[in-house]
Amino acid sequence: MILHTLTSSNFMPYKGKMSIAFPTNKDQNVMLVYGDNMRGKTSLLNALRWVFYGKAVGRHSREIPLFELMNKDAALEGDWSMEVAATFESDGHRYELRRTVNKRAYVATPSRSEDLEVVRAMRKDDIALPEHLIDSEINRFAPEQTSRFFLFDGELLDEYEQLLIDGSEQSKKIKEAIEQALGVPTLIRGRDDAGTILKQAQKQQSLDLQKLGGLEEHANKQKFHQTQIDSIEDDLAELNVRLRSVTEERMALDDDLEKTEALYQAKQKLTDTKAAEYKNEADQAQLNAERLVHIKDAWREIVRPLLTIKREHLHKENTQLTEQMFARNHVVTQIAQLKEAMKSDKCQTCGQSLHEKERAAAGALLGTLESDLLGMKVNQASFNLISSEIQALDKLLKPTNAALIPQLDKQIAKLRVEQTQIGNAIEKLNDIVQGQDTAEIARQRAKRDGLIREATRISEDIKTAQANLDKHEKDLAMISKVLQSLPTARAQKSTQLVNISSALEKIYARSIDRLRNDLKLSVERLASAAFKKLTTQGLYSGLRINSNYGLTILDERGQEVTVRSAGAEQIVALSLIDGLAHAGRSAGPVVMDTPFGRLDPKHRSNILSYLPTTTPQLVLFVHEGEVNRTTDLAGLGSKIGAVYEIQEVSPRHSRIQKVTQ
Amino acid sequence: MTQDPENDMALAALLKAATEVEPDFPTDLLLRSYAIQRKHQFDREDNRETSMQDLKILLDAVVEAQGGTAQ
Amino acid sequence: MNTASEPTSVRLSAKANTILAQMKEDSYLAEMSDGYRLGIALALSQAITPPELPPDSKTFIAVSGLDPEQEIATAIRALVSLEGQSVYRYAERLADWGVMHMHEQFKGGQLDVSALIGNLVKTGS
Repeated sequence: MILHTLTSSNFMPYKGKMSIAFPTNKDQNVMLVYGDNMRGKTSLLNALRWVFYGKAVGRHSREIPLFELMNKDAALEGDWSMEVAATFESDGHRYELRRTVNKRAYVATPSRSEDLEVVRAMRKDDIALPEHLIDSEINRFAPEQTSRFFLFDGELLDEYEQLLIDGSEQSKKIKEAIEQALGVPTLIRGRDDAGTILKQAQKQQSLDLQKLGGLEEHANKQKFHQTQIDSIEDDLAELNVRLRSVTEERMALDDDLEKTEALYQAKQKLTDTKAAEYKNEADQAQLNAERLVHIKDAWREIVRPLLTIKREHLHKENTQLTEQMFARNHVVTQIAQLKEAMKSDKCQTCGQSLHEKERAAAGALLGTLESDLLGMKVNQASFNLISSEIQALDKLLKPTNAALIPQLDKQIAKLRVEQTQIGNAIEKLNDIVQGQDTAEIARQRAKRDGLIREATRISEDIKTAQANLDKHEKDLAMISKVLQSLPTARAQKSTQLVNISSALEKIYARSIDRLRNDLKLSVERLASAAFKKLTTQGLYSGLRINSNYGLTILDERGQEVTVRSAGAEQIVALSLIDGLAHAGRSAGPVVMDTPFGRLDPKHRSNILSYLPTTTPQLVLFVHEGEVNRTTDLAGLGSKIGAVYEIQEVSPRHSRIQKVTQ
Repeated sequence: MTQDPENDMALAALLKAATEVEPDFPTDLLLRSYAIQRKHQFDREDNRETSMQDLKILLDAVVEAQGGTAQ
Repeated sequence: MNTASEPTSVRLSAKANTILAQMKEDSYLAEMSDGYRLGIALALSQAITPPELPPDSKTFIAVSGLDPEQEIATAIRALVSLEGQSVYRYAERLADWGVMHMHEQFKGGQLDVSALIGNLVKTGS
């Protein structure tokens, strides 16, 4: 199939008319569409999906309701019309496919999907096809099951990486999708159809045999097992429906919880931050209390400098007085000595008699000294006063804890700054958490966990029922075999039908396993070939596939490479998809999001050189942030047939425009 | 799906399975049953009965041709 | 000695009283008497000659409560030549001036004792 044009009106963010033309030249088969995330790339993919299959998908491959597809701005203006049309060719025929939505006549303002009606039209070589033939026509060149491999959303890449996690929910679904695309369901249906006919035939056989003499016992046993089988199959059907519903509910909760996880974290952080605020306040209170106690003595610190100076002065004064007192004492002592000498007429020092001259000198000195003494008045009271003053001041000047106040003030100031910061953080967190009911979140979690447990229980029940079923089927088969050997029984038409349908069922059942095995080998071969072209690691010898179509990389010795980078994961997933597309002979154009976020330039270059060779038309959605226009896309160069750019007019309105290269 | 029957992996698997479990089963009948499945392979789930009915018609015809005793 | 007799209690103007009450309410002081002492100390450190108390002044606290060890008296005597004045009458005037001055300096804001201690307070009037 080769796409020619895609046009739309009011589809998703594309308000009004949108139109793009795909390159149809084999040598220039690449179309680039530039746009940032959330501007409309996925919507282009969805336009294609919707016009072909009536479905548009959002996250986790969940279908987007019809009502949500209509452009919101247009709806606000009262325009409730929406349309997507595609022109393409296949097998030498030209096609035009159109899907139109309008509000139902009796509805004034639509508020849900049921208020809208969808009309589909297809022309083949300009001749209108009847509505009931459109699906089978589409199935001829673009069956929905294989659309996975060409309408390729970047998010899908993450899904494929899930395949590597054996037994995960996602991997089972993807495995089913892959097998569906590769023909396994055809055989499964064959087996199921043959099985249905067999059961009916067996019932008829029981009725027939009951009428034949001597075979009642076998017929009754057969009937018994058939009844049991019917009953168990009904139970199994019910269990499977329940399991699907429980799983879907759980997945929806997972989605919600993911959104609220961030809020939950914020709430936790808020609790911690509030505790920090509380501690800060307590610390401040404690320091302030300490401070208040010390303020009692703060007055001493204020006068300390002056009092210290005063004390120094007093000390000097006292020292002077002390010196004076010593000097006076010295004089007093001298006078005493002289007086004694004159009285005894002997020198007080050497003990010798004094001459007249010496007596006269001593007398003169005595006079001088006595005269001096008269001037040496020492104020003892003053001295005592000063001493006691000094003592009093020393008591005052004893160190106090009030000297710690400046330090405490610094600490308090620091805490105050922290307090402001904490307050700001709390405000921010409150904004995030506002209105979120964490009790509700906890309830959802508990519910989700309960659903997981229930799913496990149901799976166990299914296993048990299946085992039971197998037993009855074995017993039934034994009876069939016995009957086959009996000529009267064998002659019955119902018995012959039983034999034929039983054989057919066996063949189809076996073929399913065969095909799965063959496919795995084939996909492995093709994916390995793709991988070798895409990887930059020359020593890798290829890929090995597991039962879930998960792939492991093999090194040059054929050993599994266990540690892989995110980039390597992407390459492996791309290889798988390419391998699958080739195994399933997917004939469509490949429309994909550039999954380049995690890849280095060399890998990107490899991918961009390889992809255009795998498909007749390649449409690449390019995110400016991921790809460097000049360097990364240089490899595509001459293969680029058309370039478009998605621009945002407003959050609900985007526009796509052709860019001249 | 492929348009070329020679490259049809499902058919190849079916034929191989027949030789393994029911070697006496008529190949022609097998091919005709497969054709029915191919024709209906993309039927919607609510349309499942059609392929089964077509197959029943085919098998009834075969039994009729074999000539058995109807009750 | 012609020293004046000492009063048994000290007074404070109504305005200064209000100021101290507010400071205590705002938790800048544990007791109002702490602020009274701070006022005395501030006035002493500025070597101010304090004015007379205004007529509306009332008894604030007993001397024995304000200055049990007579340390304030010691400090005043050490730094001021009282010339026979009553030391506690002088203390009253110092206190009143000091409290009014503190209020002036830290108007509305926190009583920055650290600044007082660090002599960062500039001389006012």
